[in-house]
Amino acid sequence: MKEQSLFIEASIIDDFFESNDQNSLIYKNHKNKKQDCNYSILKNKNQHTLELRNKKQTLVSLPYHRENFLFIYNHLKDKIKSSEDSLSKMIEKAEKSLRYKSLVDQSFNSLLFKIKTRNLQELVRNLLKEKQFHKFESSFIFFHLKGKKNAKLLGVTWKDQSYDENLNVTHFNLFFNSVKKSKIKAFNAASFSFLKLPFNGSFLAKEIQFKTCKTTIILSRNDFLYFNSYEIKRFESCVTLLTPFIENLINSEFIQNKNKVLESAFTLYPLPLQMMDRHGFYDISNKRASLLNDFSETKTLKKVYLPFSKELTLYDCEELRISSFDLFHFQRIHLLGELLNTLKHELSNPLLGLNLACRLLKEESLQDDDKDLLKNIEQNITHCQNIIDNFANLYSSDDSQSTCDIKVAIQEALTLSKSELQGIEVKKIYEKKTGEFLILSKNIVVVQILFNLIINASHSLREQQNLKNKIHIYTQESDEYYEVYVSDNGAGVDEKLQEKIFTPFFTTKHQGTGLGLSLSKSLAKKIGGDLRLTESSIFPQGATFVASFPKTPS
Amino acid sequence: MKKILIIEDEILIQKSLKKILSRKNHHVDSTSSGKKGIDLIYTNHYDIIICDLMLQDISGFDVIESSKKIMSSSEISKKFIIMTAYSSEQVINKVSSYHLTILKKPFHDIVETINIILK
Repeated sequence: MKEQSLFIEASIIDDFFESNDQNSLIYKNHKNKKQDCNYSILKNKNQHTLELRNKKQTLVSLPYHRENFLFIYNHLKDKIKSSEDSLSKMIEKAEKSLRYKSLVDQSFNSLLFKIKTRNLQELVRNLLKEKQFHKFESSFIFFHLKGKKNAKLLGVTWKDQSYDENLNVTHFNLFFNSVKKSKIKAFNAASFSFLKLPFNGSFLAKEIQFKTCKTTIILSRNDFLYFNSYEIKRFESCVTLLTPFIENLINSEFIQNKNKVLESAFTLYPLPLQMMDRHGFYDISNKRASLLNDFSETKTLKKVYLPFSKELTLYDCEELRISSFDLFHFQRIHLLGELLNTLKHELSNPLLGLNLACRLLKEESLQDDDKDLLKNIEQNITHCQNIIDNFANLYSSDDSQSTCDIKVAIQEALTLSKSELQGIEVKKIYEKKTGEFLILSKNIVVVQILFNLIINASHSLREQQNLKNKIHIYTQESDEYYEVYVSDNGAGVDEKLQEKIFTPFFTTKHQGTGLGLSLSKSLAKKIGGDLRLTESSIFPQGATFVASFPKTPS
Repeated sequence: MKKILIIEDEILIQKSLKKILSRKNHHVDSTSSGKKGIDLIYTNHYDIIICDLMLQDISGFDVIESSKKIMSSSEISKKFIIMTAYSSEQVINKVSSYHLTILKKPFHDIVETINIILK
């Protein structure tokens, strides 16, 4: 009972290493009450050292490594347990291992190396590379985490092939118990035929039981010879040495899986996040599509801390309440993009077939009206293809710069919104009667912006039930910009709402996404222009939006 | 006269291409199944093989891989023409790793497409 304070859980070691404070761990020897036997491990991050000291002086200083810490710690523990060795002997050992690292027992040294392996597969693989096990051909770790449906058999079969299989838990328990009961730890694969083990003949196995996990380590030569006592002893001592690392690895594997699920959840989170795992920060916001940046630029990036080692807690920043409502909308947009892509591919093929067939028929000797009919069919096919392409392009991430004519873009936007514009009088007024209105941007971006504006106008007109619904589209030229005004004679935008309409997810419509205007605005800004609400002399009551686009340098 | 094989599961495209090419006095075989296509390649000698990437049974790349057994890779890059509506970067990279001609669907200019095929 007296030694209780010495049993440090692996988590404390982790805390010790990952925390940033200059704290130290202090151990007291309860059996020996003399002062000089109270010592502490001091972490000195600036000089990258770990110091072992008693009250008076620093006894030994080692490089700042987890292994070194474990080394000191283990010896400290042994030392206090037995309380027979003097402290000086322990220090001597520590120094020896440091100075003569190459001379220290080979297996111990390489085991230290293995601590660095990050997963179980690597661990068993390295076990086979070990000199003392060079005769063995396959090694496995067979474990079951509490609460999991399956037990796992991981390892290397002969010919160096990786093996990873889920097995029945009852079978695992049978195996584990018989390994536990056995004294010599040598078995024959034939007696576990129910497991269908991926190796033959006799094998060595040792069980380790952790709080959350039952584990067996298996080594096999794939032959039917008996093992000598020397081999068995070495195997057992090696597994014992490895025990703490195996536990760590299993735990970390478990946490890794958990993290993967969490990560995917956070990658889809609609607002910028920053994650912190045990090893530091990393930003996941850049993983998410640039789409996100487009409509969240008004919001500053807030850090969300996520301590993975403990229970999942998400600290939301105060002014940015993220509601499930936003999440829902983000998912809708995401889905829409995918849907459009699928549609494009599914429709392109039949349309191409139709197009080719039309071509063929046109070459037949047909009557004139039949030829006309075919021509119409062909036109419609091209039209369909264009619509599909245009919609799909909205979501493509091609950033190449090009020039575009506003006149063409307006016409295209009007074609796209044809169905929405039924019963609405649309008037286009160009400032310049002739010539082109060239701007530096992709056609599709401009079309998207104008399309959104036209659709919005048509929706507000529809609500009105006015008989003389009108939309005017007119252009103005300034030194650097072409401006396109989209004006309607609807009800206009309520003064209270004027500030909000460009915010993402804000909508006044029942079925709106609230993204149209915010998306358009960020698109316009992306190409160096802008989108504003303005007033117009033509329809003072209605709403007028003006989109400005930078001219091409002449 | 050239011997041409068309492997395409969209029946309209298959038939029309076949007709267009036959009119130019080429011998054209066609199938909508990739596996059947492989059989045909094994049993016949074709000058040009036009193959869709997304077939219903197997992918166009599978057809190419199977043809490797009887053709050299230079022969493959000479004979095969890949048609695809999925012009993602991945697909294009894979196609160019075989040094193949690629036709992106939809064809914007059919006459030109035919010229590419017959080149």
